[in-house]
Amino acid sequence: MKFKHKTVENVRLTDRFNTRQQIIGTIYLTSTHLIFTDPEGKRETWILHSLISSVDKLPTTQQGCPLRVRTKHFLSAEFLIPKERDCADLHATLNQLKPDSYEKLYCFLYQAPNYLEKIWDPFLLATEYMRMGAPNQHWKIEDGNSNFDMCDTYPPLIYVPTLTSKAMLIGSSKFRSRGRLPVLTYLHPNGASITRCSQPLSGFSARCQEDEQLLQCILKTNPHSNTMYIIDTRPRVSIPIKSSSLRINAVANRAAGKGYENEGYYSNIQFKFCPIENIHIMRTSLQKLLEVSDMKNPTMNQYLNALDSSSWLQHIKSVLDAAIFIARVIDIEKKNVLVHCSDGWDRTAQCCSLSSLLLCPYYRSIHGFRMLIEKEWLSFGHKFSDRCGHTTTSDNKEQSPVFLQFIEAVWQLSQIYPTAFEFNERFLISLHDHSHSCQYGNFIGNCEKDRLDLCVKERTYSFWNFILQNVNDFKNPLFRPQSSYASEVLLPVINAQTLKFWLSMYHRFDSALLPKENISNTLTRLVDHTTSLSDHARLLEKRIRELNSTFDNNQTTTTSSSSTTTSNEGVDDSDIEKRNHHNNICLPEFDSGLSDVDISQARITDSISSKLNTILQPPPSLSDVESGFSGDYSPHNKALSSSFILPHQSSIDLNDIPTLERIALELNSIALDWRSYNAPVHCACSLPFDSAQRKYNCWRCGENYCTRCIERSIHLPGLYSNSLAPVCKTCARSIKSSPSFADFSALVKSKSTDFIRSQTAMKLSRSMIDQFINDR
Amino acid sequence: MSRNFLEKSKIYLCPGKYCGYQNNSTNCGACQRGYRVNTESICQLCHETLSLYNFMYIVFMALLALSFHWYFINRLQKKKQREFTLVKQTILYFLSILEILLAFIFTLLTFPPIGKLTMNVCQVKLLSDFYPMFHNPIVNYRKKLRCSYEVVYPLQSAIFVLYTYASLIMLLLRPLFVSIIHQKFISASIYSALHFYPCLLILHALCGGFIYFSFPILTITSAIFLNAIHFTLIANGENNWISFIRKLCGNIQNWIIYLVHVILLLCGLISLTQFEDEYHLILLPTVFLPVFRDHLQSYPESIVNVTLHNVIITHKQSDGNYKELWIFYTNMDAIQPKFPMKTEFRSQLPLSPSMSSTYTIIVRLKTLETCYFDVSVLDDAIKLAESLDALITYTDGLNCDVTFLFPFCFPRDFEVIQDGWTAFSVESEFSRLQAISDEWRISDVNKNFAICETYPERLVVPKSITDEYLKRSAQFRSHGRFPLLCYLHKSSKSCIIRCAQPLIGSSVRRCKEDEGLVNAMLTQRHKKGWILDTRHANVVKSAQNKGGGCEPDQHYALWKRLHRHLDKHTVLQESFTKLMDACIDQSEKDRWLSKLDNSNWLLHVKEALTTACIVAQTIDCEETSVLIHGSDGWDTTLLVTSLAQILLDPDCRTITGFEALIEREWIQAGHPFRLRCSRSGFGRSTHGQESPLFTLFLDCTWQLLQQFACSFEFNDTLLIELFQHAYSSKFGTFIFNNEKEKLKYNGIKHTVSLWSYFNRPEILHTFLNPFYEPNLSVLWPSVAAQSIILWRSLYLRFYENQIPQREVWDEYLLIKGKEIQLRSYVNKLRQELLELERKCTEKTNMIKTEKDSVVTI
Repeated sequence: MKFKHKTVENVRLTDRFNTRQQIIGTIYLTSTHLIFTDPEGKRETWILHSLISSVDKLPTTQQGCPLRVRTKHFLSAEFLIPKERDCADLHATLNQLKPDSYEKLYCFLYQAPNYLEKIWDPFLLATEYMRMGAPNQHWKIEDGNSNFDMCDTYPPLIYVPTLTSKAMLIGSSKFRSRGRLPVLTYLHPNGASITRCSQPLSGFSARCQEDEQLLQCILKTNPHSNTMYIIDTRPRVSIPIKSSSLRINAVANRAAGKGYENEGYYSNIQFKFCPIENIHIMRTSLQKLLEVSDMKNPTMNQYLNALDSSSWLQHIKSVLDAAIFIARVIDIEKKNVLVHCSDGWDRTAQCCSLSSLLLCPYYRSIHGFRMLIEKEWLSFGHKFSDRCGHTTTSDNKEQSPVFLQFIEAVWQLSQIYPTAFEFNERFLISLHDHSHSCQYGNFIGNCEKDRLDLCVKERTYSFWNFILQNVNDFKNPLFRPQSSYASEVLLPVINAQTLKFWLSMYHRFDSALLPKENISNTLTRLVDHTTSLSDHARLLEKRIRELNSTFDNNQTTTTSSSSTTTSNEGVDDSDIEKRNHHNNICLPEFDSGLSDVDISQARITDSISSKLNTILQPPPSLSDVESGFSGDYSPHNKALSSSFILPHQSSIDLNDIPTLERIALELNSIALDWRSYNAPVHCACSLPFDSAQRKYNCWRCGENYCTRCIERSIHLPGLYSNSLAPVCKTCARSIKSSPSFADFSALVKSKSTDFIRSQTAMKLSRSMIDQFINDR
Repeated sequence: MSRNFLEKSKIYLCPGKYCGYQNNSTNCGACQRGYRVNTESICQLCHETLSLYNFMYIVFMALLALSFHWYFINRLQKKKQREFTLVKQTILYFLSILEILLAFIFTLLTFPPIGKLTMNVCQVKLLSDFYPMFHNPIVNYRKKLRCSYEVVYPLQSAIFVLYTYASLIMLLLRPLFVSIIHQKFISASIYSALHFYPCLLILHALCGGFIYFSFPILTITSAIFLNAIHFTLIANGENNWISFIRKLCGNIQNWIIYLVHVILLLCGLISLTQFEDEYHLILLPTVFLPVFRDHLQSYPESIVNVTLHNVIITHKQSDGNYKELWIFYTNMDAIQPKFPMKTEFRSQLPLSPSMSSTYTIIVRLKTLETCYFDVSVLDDAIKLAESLDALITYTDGLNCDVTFLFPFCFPRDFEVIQDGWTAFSVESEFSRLQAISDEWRISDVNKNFAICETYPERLVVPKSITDEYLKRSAQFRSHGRFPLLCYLHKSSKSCIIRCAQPLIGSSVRRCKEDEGLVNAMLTQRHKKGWILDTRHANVVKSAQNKGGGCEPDQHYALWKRLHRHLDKHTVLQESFTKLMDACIDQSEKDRWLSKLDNSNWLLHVKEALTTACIVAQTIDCEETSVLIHGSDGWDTTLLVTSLAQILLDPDCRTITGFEALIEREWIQAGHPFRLRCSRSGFGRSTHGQESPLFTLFLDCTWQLLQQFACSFEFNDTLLIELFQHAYSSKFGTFIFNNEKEKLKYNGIKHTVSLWSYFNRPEILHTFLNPFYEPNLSVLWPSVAAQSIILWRSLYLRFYENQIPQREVWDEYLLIKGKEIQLRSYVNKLRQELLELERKCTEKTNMIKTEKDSVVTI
């Protein structure tokens, strides 16, 4: 591809909320990004071409020609370009650079950093259904769609009631729009299930015996109830409509052979309309919402008025209401639910996935949420490419923020129940961004078949791999697996007052608007610090044990002074233990330990470390396992606590006797105090921090660094678990240069079997599922 | 007997005390005769039976006429002693009694229910009920709404009717008597009666209300005094007892006078027993078995006790124990009876058990909670609602005795560690100031609140200014609130000054002393300052016509003026009411956001924060001093000064600092808390002085806390607690309007300070922010519309499930605690390791030396 201009200089970037402040810099254009650099502030703005939603030339002013670039992740940048020709060129080039076919998408060009590999965890729909308990006596696997001949937007394997015959399925699929017949999508432990499909092509009076039979079969799968619900997520059309034009519309829809089930033909079925507006209304609503955030310094009334008239939050509420209704029916009334909209891939996906999220705590973990997305959105064919507008070939009218609405609905839930979700806001935001960015192959294409045709798995990276490699960034520090909200069905009461405007989504690039001090970042920092300290403490305990044993070897009697210090600690520790309600170790033993000198040092320290274990990890309970395997499939902290691997396996070999240099190195490599996020204004690379940015503490020096200044490839000697720790570049250099580090890294490399295992952590997660199923 | 309680939401209340809607009419106006307006602005039929007090009042008026009759008959006797025999005299006396008695009976018969010896009356509540013509409201300052009618029906007209009957009967009977005995002079009694009846009528028309409320005491005192006078008159000239007693008993006239006095005395005594006290407000002391519920729980089979200070709800818990819940009247904001049936025709309908579902009384509390009483008996419900309503009105800001409020009866149930009354003295503040600058002194100029009633007695003033100057300046400022230092910035030495508006008036008066005082507060470095007026320029102009105004430029040459309009009083109160209306609205139809928008509350928050930011910017960046005032300097002024201090001063972001700030800038600065907080988000304004300024201040602080989550030592629990205590408290901190009042009622001795309660470790612990890291810089919050958000944890805290949020808080503490523990644990381990290491080296060295020594040997 040829660009007319690769660089444009003397460009001013105007801040949306502080028009007086302008940054002068240079625009660089690469084949994938538009880069704006600011030589003074050292700040760089990278805009991926595939994320650009619109490029507008605004009327020329005295200072130059303004060019507004808006992206799909809600960045709106206004560049003031001195020469009008440059501006026009840039405008034309940017428009040209938009990918016009799948082959030109960014994911086929993207070269990920080393730690990511083109590993695709084989997502098997079957394992997910196995977890839910299907197939069983009521449900069976049907492979009639293995060549996508029954329905090309469904996965090859579908789950249908045992009683159905193939002819029945084929008949039903012909009756349903685009062949999307009713199939199982969620099975609740109480036997009630959610099935999804598309609208019936009932027209004025058409009926289909097979479809009716199929619904009766679905009804019979639930022994608890003799009726079931059909939920139409469209606004009801059968109610008398005053406006005649709308009536004609509805009639026209029916005449075109579309419609909804005729209540007369289906027995024992309750119909319910959950009005969610169609994709076009949602699109305009989002546009209005973005206009709100585009307003320059609105007054309070303007802002609230505009927010109200966009009715975005009302749409979110209608989606949530539908989902809560479904969850209520399933959990309380114990009835089966069939959900459909027009085509069964937009509103149906939203409702099914949200209600599953409410019903099953597993989906509220990172891993489970991934399963949910894979199942409801990817397998059942949400048209990501069309809805997100990945290529220029897709129709503009097909674009709609359906997935965004789902993400936001999840966010609203996570605001109501902050302790119930394992993932955090950043996870949701990056999920949204990458559904648009095409950086990873997951969200390419319109259905499973498209992705198979494009050989996505061989040619691109997986988004989930990226998430798992950086899982600490996406974990909710408040997640409390043992809390009732994280382990039960959630049935929130949603009022209009409940929903909030998602400031950190729609205004995430306007740091002036965001809170200056961010609690969630502080929390992540605290949790990271705790992890590093506990890891370090474990190593220290081991060293003390070793030294003691060497000491004992040489000198059989222990000095009373050292024993008292340790047993003192034992008492101290018992305080910690009391707080954690863990009763494995009884206290009297320690009290007697005070007087009893004979008790071995090793035993005490051992028990301390086991207690430390209990501090760091809540005792594994059923709820813990159910709520999603605590996310331990991360390679970073694989050995730390996972109940599937023995805790001591991957630690550094015990046999080597620590030299003084080693101990010094180990003590030096971990910072005891970490710099608070609030104090520094600049990173060491002089990049100014703002509140929204993710900051990292170097585990060695404790200072704050930006993402670019952190390296993740160092095994810090001071860590027991021997995992990769984030370290700043200076520290990384000084560690590498220290003489005893060479020995250490050699030692680590000899233990590289662990390393290999960490790479296949994805498979580990599969084994977890198996184990889970076995447990059941 | 029927009362028409309609849903309040459907009715727009009429202006004025006595205007109401007549049946189905949509216009406000005077009620029909026989009707009286109720609290819902609806004219209601007067249906109460004649109470003893009212009965005695009519009796008193009748007796008044009778005594006049007797007096004139007595005069007659003195004039014409010979012709006027005792028999005639007695007949005349009895004749007058007969007249009055007949008139009295006829009057009772005339008034509805007609033909019965009783009357339907309207309850008399206030003195003003007798004089509705003085309470005609002026709508929108243009049109006067005439709502004069007989509010106290029929007490007013009954007297007129009584006197008319009496005179008519007299005109019928006496001429007959005269014609029988043929003594013309007796007709003089008729003439005199015809003279005094009009006088009595006029007296009643003018002073009816005063008589009504004072007649028992009047009768008793007059009975005693008149008797005494009578005795002295008789005793005059008599030297021995026997003749005195003979004279006393021998005369029938005396007997009659005694009789009259005894009747008067009895009448007075009986009436006095009926005299109003607080307890008459309670119509129904106990209600059995209603369902009491709030948003989350319901407590069936409760017992509701109505006492003088609170409602005590006793309910049985699941474990069989009884639990009590107290709701103070001072915490009740509005009573909204919600009865399913329109009770207009209740008496005509048979009350079947199926119909008598429940009658709900919704009690909205000032702390924004809502309680529901479901009572199954309508009469009980009405009485309960009425008693509560009356008690709320009674404990209201203006007409309530402060010592009646609960803090005066609240027993101190905890040990005071640090007395809050003395914790924040002027001296301690002054010592802080002394560290920055030595140009200030403490003055006793306001001893005994001599020059300003709303300032404390001891004040910090510039050293260079004498007390005489201050006195002059105080005369020049509204309410004597002369310019006072409230904050001195450490780095720039510029200060925030607050005061009330200068009384320049339309003639633009000037006061040299005031100018001198203001200029003395300017810093040495920058001889310039800003005057921030929290009113719009137009408002200032209209204030100038009323004698107020703003400092003119020509006289205050060193100062520049700036106007930032901040709403207060009714506008703010209305906004708050609308906000709460939006918050409690659970219906689907109305759009929440547009309602929120309509309330304008967030706009007020934004404006207040913006103004505070301007002040902070001036102080910190421009290094110039700012003088802030509104009209009186105790509302919006305080809002701005206190917010600016939070932005500027890191000390104000600690718990003690924040308490000191509230004590200094709100309580000691004379924010009239009792007036401002007598109604919260639901109630109707009773005196127009209610205004949620303190709430606005707390909300703004919360916005700051939201944006700078780590810079405050406290969390939002403290702010919510403060909100609750400002509106309803068992502590004395927020119940006075100013320091003078506190001293007058001896508040320090009789009540407990809120700060004493807050500063106990177990309470203080709950206010701590686990993420607090002292931030010494000035805070620059974002005041864009997007950054201003609704304070959910206050306004919606009773309408949303708060348990997950509480869990979050626990988790915060857990994470923080774990980090701290681990840190110290690692530290300990490290030390131990080093210790061991040292020992090891020592030992190896020892072994080495041993080996060496072996080798050397």
